[in-house]
Amino acid sequence: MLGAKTTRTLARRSIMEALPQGKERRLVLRLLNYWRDLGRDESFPALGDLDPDAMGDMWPFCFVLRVNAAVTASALTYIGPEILADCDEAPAEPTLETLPDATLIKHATAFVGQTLRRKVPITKGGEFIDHRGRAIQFRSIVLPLAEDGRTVDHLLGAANCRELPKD
Amino acid sequence: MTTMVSFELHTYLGGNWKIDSIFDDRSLAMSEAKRIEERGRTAAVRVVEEVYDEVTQEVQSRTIYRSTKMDSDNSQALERQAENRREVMAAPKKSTGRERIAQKKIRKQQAKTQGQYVMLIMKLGIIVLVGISLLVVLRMFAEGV
Repeated sequence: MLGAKTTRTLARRSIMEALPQGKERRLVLRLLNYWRDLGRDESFPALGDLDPDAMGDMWPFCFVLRVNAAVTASALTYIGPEILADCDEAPAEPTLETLPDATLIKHATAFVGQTLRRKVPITKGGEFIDHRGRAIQFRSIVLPLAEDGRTVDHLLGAANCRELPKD
Repeated sequence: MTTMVSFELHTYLGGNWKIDSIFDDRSLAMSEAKRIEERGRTAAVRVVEEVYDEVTQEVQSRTIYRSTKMDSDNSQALERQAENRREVMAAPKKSTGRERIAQKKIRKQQAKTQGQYVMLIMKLGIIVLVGISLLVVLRMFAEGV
């Protein structure tokens, strides 16, 4: 099952790499551009501005987090199937603290606190060993969303990854 | 020494620099800076590298990229100026033929005018000589009579 999901992830990546030449292919920059286009003047876009249809092949790699006063209790209201590909079981009501360790979603949300403090999009990448002992390289982005344009109430994130070849 | 490097993308809007986004990858930050620059909605863009030393807890910042719309406008203006200069330099070459003809005409007219003056002086000289000769002849006749 897990293998099938990984294959799907790779297939998705191939679709992204097959985008027309000259068009930005990197997921984090594409999502950042989309987010920027939604913004009004200098204010943040709102959750309601997101249009999964318009986001196309980016949406399955995205997650949405509802910000809680206690950051670790913030709930993930949407996790794209591609991000969950490396999770054996998706948590029923996922919050930042209940996310399984050594998974893409865990690493992709690791700098949520920093994004909330700085109130700017942050993108980070890195490597980790997943629960199957595979070396995974990932890149992720977290972007602020605000109903009133200023007070961040949700975060939009995205991440993709690839398995690193064994030595 | 343990250090953390990040790249802050700053945009200049309304007279202030503002942090637009933060990257941990230089090439991503540079790509985004150039894309924002191309969109032209901000007056200036810069990428600042921040190196945080976990031991000393010091942050060292340096601007690794800066490009402004003003710079771009200036370079475009310089390019336009250079083009104008090139056109001006090229312009006399185009009209050389016509100018040569005009200069020939002027020289011809000048030569013609000079010739006319010489003829006039010669005529005057002849008239004066004829006049003097007539006066001498008349005087001789008068003295003879």
